[in-house]
Amino acid sequence: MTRPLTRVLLKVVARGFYQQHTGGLLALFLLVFINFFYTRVSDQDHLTAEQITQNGFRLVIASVSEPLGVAALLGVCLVYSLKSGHYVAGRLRKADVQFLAYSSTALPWAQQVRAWAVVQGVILLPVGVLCGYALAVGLIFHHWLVPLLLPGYWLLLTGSGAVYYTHLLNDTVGKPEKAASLSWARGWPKPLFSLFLYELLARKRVPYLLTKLASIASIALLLLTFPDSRTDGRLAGMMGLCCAVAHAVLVFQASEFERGYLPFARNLPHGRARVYGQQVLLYGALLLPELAWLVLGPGLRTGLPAAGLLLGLMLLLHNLLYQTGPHMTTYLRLVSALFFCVLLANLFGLAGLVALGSALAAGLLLRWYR
Amino acid sequence: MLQLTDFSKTYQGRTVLRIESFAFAPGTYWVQGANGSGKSTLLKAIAGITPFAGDIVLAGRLSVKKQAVDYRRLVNFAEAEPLFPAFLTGRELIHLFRTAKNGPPHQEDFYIESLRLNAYVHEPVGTYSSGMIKKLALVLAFLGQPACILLDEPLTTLEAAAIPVLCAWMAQQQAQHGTSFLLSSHQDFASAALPALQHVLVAHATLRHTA
Repeated sequence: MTRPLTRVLLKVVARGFYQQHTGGLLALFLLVFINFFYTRVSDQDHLTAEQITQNGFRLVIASVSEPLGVAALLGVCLVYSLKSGHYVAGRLRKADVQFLAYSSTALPWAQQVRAWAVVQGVILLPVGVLCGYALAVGLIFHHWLVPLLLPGYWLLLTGSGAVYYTHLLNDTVGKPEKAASLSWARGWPKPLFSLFLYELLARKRVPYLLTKLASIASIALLLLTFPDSRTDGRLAGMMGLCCAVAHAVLVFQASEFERGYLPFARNLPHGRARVYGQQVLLYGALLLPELAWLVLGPGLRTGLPAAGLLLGLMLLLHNLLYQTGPHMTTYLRLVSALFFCVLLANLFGLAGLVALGSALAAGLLLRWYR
Repeated sequence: MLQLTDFSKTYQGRTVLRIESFAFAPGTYWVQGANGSGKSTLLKAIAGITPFAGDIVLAGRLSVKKQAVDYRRLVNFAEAEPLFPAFLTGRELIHLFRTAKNGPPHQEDFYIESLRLNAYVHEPVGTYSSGMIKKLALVLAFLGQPACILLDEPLTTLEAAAIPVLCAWMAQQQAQHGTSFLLSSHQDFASAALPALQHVLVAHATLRHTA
């Protein structure tokens, strides 16, 4: 009897989740987890075949045998589960799924939880694959306890997610009224360019914080990896590029916000130059910490092209979305292609030129604004 | 049929509705009021899809807060401007609502036939016009065995030929199953089609019967 609900939830929630996250998940799996499955190490001629196999599986074996490894595996699963919970909670607030609140909630609680469990199980498939792989390798290498606990852990994440979503959808009448959002900023000026910044503070604090963390982490990692090249323009350019990629999802959200909430802005008597200026102000404010660090950290002469590169790429990505439309998959492909092209150009010390080119291209793409 | 007790609804600290006690006896009610008076908010609260203080009880035993599932199975709702995911078909939505509301198999056939939805009910909702979506939302509101159906602006975007069909559904539903209706509308209902229409007015942040 729950099948119609399961079918609708899979289409409305699970499919949306994968549409939005497939690019990121693929990149994560290719860049990070490929080593988890099997770590290929060269120059192992002096080892026996068994030792080579042990080396190849050492990460996955550690994830079921050593405390730190176990914590890392369980932590990855938990973070993924929390991220999916954040997505589903946000999805359930969207106007086009409000019908679920006055349809599915008429089903008995247990049936609702069962339908949501299927959906959460589908959403958790990638971590299910990780756990399944760890379980199989763990058992083959005679580690018993953690591998046998992994299915229970996965079921726990699935079940708790299902109960949480059912609760979210059913608890529509008893929740206390939320305090007025951003009440502290009521009297503040809100020029057109700044509206997305207020949106970030009001409703997108988690993506904003994650972006800033990724941005800081990329700068820190590059500095740690190349400690002797702090005044090298190519390192600064690389930092600018990494910060730009870290902000790619926020650019997409800014574009969605503009499309959804500011369609009236296209009717305002603003020329393209003014619209472009507003974009510069928006991304200048959004990236203020990174821009300031890039200009002041490695020195003005080295940092300025990198800061320009960061701002130019942001403008380019934003304006590309006018042309491509709000399609995440296409957008992520563009971001990846841009990343590799700019990375290559930066290695030849062309950061300043790419910055200029990006800013110009962004201006040209503005013709798709209206 | 419906009893509101100590009901109040606030938006960001501003009280938009405060109803100490109000009873809807079985019947059909036209909820009237100016724009922004709180008609839609009242219907959403009765449908159990917006938070409020106080309680709403159906048939003297089912509280929207304490017996939420049983209550929602008996109270159906159609939004003023319904919005559904564009990629779902009308048929998928109908199956979901009929299952959730415990409707008999093929219950929807009559409604689909009489509103002539057959031609497009298998298509994704994204291909529908606003009038087609409205018709679908009305069909969904009649599925199951509702004791009360809430229709927010049911006539908006509805073609003229569909209005008598809707009135006939309501009359039939009331005669056969004793279902009550709460309708909010700015347009006038034909009194001949709905003879026992009672009026309630939402004004000054409260609700009262009118002649």
